[in-house]
Amino acid sequence: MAAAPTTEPDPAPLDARLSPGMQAVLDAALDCVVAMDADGRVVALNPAAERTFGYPAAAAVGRDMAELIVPPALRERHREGLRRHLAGGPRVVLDRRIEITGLRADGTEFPVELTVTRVKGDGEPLFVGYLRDISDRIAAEAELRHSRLRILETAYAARRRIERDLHDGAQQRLVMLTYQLRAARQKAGGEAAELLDEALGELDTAIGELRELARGMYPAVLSEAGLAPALRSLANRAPLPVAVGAPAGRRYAPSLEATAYFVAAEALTNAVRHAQATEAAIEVTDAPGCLRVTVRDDGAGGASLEGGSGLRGLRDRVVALGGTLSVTSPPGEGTTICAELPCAS
Amino acid sequence: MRVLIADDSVLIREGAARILAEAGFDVVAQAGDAEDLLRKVRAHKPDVALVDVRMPPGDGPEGLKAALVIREELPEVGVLVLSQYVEEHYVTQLLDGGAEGVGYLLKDRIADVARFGDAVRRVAEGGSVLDPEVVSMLMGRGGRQAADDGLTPREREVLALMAEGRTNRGIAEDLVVTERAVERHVTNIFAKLGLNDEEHGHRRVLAVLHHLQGA
Repeated sequence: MAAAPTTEPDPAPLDARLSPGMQAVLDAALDCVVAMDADGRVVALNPAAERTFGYPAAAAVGRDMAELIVPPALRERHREGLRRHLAGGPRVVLDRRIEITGLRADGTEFPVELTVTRVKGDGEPLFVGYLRDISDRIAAEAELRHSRLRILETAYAARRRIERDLHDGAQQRLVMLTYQLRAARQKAGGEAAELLDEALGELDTAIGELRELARGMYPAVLSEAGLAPALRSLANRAPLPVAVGAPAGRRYAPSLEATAYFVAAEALTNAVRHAQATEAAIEVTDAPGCLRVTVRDDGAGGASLEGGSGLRGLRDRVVALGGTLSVTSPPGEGTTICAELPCAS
Repeated sequence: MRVLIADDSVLIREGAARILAEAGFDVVAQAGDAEDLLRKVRAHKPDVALVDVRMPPGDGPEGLKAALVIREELPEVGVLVLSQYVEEHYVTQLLDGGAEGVGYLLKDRIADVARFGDAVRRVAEGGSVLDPEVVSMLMGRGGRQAADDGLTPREREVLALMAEGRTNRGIAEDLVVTERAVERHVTNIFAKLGLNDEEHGHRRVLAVLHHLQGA
């Protein structure tokens, strides 16, 4: 692209349109203000823009704005947009907030939010851009995202560890304890035998409860064999008929499988406990880049993310993976819970 | 009767070995992981191998995979899978190649020495043993899918006990009826499921499989 012919910088046209009060506003503004003419040359920039982009106004005025503050990859789009607009095209960029990348004098690029407006009037076209460096916000958002994900992964790792510890420790010991008590029962008579029978009954209950606790922590079949077998197992143990449709044999990242599983588990729990459903269906569909888990029931409906249910906790897990959770639950018409989880595929 | 025990938990392995030795079994080897199990099964060719689903190496159901290899490679070796959990996924894989000389029990069952000994013996002799929890899970599913097989509730009960590997006499004791009555139920079940006389020895197994698979 040929640069615009060099002319003597002349900020006068802008200054002439500004009252002293308006000038003070621009000088004191924390946001960058950059004005550009119809040729794409910088007409003026305020102190915030000088600081952010690293050019003194005197060095910037008169130069091609794209060369100064637009990263090379975006320059042609910028120039094309300006040409189209001047030729009477639609206002694609004007008067809306957009997020884009800016370029500093030292060559570094950074995220900015930007609005551009065209100064009203009959004179030469004049455009004013308001820009804010949003590096801190973007970084904070990224950190928030990463820390949510780390918390989720840590929680799942802890659940798996607890399941494994119970499996390798307490559960095995209780089995052998049962054996020992049974051996004692063989030798005992009278009251001792009765007490031992009672103890064996309690022990049997404890083993069952511990098994359910361990499974609820993190079902072994989920890490061993994947989502589809784990969901079938969940459906088998549900107190109502649950149809399961899930692609067999596919594996996903552990935190993705766990989140999908717990969405289904929580939805089924709600269907039984709060909605008195008589049947339910779990469906997993596997679109490119997205794993979708849908759980439908024919219960009472009326569930919402705002309620005190486990749904909010579920949404937190889904959001931590960058996904979305929706709940459709009109009173009397059943509940549909759908989680969409981004996945590498 | 020669038994091999594979479990990564020493407690369970030693415990099961002691229980089975006391019950008159000859425990020929113990293995702590899936590779060790396969090596020792090939070397000893026991009558039955007790296999824990979850064993090293790896994070998957390595024990179950080894059990499937044994079924394929050494069909004369009975395989009794033990697990802390009942999982349809594993049960169906295990039964895919038929139900002869195969079993799936929750680990707790080890503690009931008499019944556990019976189960090990039955699998070693080519029979099948399924944990009551496996049966109720699969019957629940099968019952929904194959409700029109014409079985009465009583026949269904008998079939569930057959799936657990009980003999007619055992079933009669459980249901507090005569052995003759059980035989009548069993004959009716065979008839309703279309299992004829020819494969007499397998009919029991076939009836159970037929039902479990919801066919």
